[in-house]
Amino acid sequence: MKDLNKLIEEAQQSELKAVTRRHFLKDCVAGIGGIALGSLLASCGGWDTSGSKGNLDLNALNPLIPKSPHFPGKAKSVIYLHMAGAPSQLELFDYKPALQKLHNQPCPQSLLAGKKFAFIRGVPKMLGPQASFKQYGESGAWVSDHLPHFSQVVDDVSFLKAVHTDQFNHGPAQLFMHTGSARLGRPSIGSWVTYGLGSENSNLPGFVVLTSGGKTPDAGKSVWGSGFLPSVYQGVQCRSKGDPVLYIADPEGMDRDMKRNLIDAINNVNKTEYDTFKDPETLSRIAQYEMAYKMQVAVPEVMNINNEPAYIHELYGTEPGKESFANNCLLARKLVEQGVRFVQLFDWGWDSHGTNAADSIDLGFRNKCREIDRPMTALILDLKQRGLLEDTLVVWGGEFGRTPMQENRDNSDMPFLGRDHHTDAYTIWMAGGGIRNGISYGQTDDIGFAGVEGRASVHDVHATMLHLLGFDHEKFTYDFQGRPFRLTDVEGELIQAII
Amino acid sequence: MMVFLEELMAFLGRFHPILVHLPIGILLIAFVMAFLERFTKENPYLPAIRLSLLLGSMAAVFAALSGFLLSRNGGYEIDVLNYHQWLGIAVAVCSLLLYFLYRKKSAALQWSKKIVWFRFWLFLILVILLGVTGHYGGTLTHGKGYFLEAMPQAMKKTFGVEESSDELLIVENVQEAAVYDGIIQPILKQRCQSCHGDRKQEGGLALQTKENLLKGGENGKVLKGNNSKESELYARLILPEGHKKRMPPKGRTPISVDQIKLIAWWIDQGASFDKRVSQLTQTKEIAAILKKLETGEQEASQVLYADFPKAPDLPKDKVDAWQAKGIKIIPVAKENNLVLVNAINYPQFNDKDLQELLTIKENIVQLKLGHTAITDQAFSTIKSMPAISRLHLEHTKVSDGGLSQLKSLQKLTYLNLVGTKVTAKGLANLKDIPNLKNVYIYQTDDRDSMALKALHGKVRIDTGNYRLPFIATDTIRF
Repeated sequence: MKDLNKLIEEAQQSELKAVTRRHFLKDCVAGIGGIALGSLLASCGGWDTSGSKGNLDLNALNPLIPKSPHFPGKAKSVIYLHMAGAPSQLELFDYKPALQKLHNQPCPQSLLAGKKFAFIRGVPKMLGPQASFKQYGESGAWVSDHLPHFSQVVDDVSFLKAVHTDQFNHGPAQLFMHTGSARLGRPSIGSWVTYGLGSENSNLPGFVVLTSGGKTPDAGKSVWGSGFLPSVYQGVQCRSKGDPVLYIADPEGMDRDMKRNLIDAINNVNKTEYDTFKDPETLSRIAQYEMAYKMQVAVPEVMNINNEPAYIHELYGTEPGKESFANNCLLARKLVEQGVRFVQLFDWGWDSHGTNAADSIDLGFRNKCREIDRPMTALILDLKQRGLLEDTLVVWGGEFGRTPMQENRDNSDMPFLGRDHHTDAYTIWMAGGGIRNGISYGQTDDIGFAGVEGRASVHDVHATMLHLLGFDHEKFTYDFQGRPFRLTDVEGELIQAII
Repeated sequence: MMVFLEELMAFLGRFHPILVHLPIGILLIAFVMAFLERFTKENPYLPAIRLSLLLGSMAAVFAALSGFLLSRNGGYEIDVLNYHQWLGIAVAVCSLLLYFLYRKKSAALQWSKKIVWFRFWLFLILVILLGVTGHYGGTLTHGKGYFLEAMPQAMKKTFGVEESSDELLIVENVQEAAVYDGIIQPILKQRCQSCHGDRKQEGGLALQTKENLLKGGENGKVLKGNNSKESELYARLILPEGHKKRMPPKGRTPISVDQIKLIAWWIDQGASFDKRVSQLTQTKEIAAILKKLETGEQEASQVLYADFPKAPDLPKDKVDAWQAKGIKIIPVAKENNLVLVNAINYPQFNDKDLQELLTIKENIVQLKLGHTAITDQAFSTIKSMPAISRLHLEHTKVSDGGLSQLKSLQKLTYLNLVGTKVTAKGLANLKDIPNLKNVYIYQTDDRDSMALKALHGKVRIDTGNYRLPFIATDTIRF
């Protein structure tokens, strides 16, 4: 026995001796490299950094739990009405009598020098306003005869008359308007808001998207995507015709209990998976299964407009069963009433180039105006009478404006009157949610080409929206690829005049 | 030649940021050695102290000289600059003096012990001076308050550091105030005169007196033809963010939109130096901005619940229990104990549940109980929740019975009674609630009653039921 111990001791010692200084150094090199690589890789993940932010801790299994902003926000919900294709500010809100005098005259070179347009080539002619304007309300806001209903509620609204962007194509411009960047990959503003505030109703998604006009926006689903945020914060697109969400009803023979068991089983597998790999997308998946289960009851209920009284249908001009902007406006009110944080509406068909009757500024454009005039006015009034407008921010706008010149695609005359894409000035209006009433902020030059006073960038609009929700846009960040990202990137200034 | 010298001096001034760090480092290490020299038995340090002091004091002199050249450029806050300048000179003088005190010859003179201690204490003072000078230097480049600004909230509380806030411009009885002396000059003083005032006249422009304003600066007059757009005094303020000529320049406190509008209005109305506000024409917008000057509302209204008393911490276990039930308890802001309570996912919520919430009665600022099972009993609980500002009782069984109990809610501004049984009779009780602004009674039975009209004016009562007329454009399409 004594000998055996001696043998073991000797073996141990010789092993220790074998670990020489050379081995030690070699281990060190590999070790330090490993440590460095570890921290390098961790910064690529983006998800492991939630702890470092301090301002927002992700509640792992319940990512949509209500959270608090930096300071008390006046707005609790947002309804964003996006007119995809970009409506003409010169036929709606930006009254330019001087442009009428220049109608059909060639555009002065000074306006064209150094500018690029999407379709205008050579020297286009000026195009006078194709609408008549009047001042309305106590605030004296200018509105054209295209929006007879809306002109009656201008005192509840504030206008930004000199918004500008730097993108003149629909896709990038829509991305910029909704994600703060013209390139793909950033989260949309609705995702930022639901990420920052969660949702007050745990039976409904926090961010719902509704589209009308026959097409979805040119930029695709990225305009309501979650970018580098966990995908649970992306917009949930609901259909206003047929089942609001595809396959929302249980198949025949499947009852609620069986469904519950099924989801519990799947979630257990996913939890094991998460414990092993810590991939946050697994958590998103678990949360989404839970959400889908609750949504099966809650969504058909909230998305059903048949139960609304007749006078509400009259107010909005809704026709149940059809896909329309009016239906979506009514749905937006119902969703916000049920505590949905962000409702994004897209209405397609505003790209009035003048290539055919449907997209001409004097015919098709008017029809589009008629489609939205009543519903959007009704939305403001309905939110107001229910006491919801005070903490619901309503935003209306396109992705850019339209030129004061008539479009001359390929330097030739067009069959109908139309305007080209224009980045230098366009109008956005906002209402409710802490927005001052009846302000017109910003001013364009005599022909509406560029802002001369109170210009606001897309980042400024975002900063202001986040401010109303309680966020300091400069501190509202998410760490990704080793640096904190903001919706407003490195820009954005509050538009104090309207808040 | 003169021009070249001027330019050269300006260039040498730019060396200041590089040079300042030399004396700091060298003198500090010299002090560490002086410390060791005093408190350890052996001291091999004396020669090193002497050398460091020589180098350090020379560096301090050059730093001070370059600093002086840099300050001639202007653009710095004058009080801070003065402190920094004289402290910097004191450091240079003090370090030179110390060098002589530590010199070999002096040591050979067989100093008494007192003197040896004296030079050590002087050294300590020098180090403190260094720190303070450095701090003022930092303040010059980064702006006032930058040092404490980043201190963690918890520490700020412990040390009682006040959050810096701009002094508000408040004008009592604004219509009777003098436009120039009472409004415009104070704005210029607040936002412009640190660079265009008594002590400094950037671009040759000073704005502290009528004469100087009329005279203008190097580039001519700043007030032209009573037209704001042609007057540089205004035109410079509305240049786009990032423009080289925009005023106030980057990094300075920006001038507010309202203040810019007031300046434009004053110029367009003739840039008068003796008229009163009421003597000038006011648009609605300007009148509103002026009105706000009386209360200083423009800044104060920015943060909700700012004037609410501090609420106690939330009992975590109870909050968790409520949350588990589906009653949402949501702090309205980070590090704020005020909460919004929402029972949207717990429609069974009844009067008993409400009574439990009395534990956090001082925390609740917004109570959302729409579509729940509460009854008039709820009012006797709600009345002891003093912080409630927004109360949602829509589509519940509440009726006139309890409304009178809401009188005690001093903070109440919003009351939602849509789809309840309340009538004009009960609503009459609301006129005594001091801060109540909006009451919503859409979908109640009695909302057209005459009695309601009497309440209008005091409180905005929204009876809803809005309709839009049918017009041709609703249906006719091109």
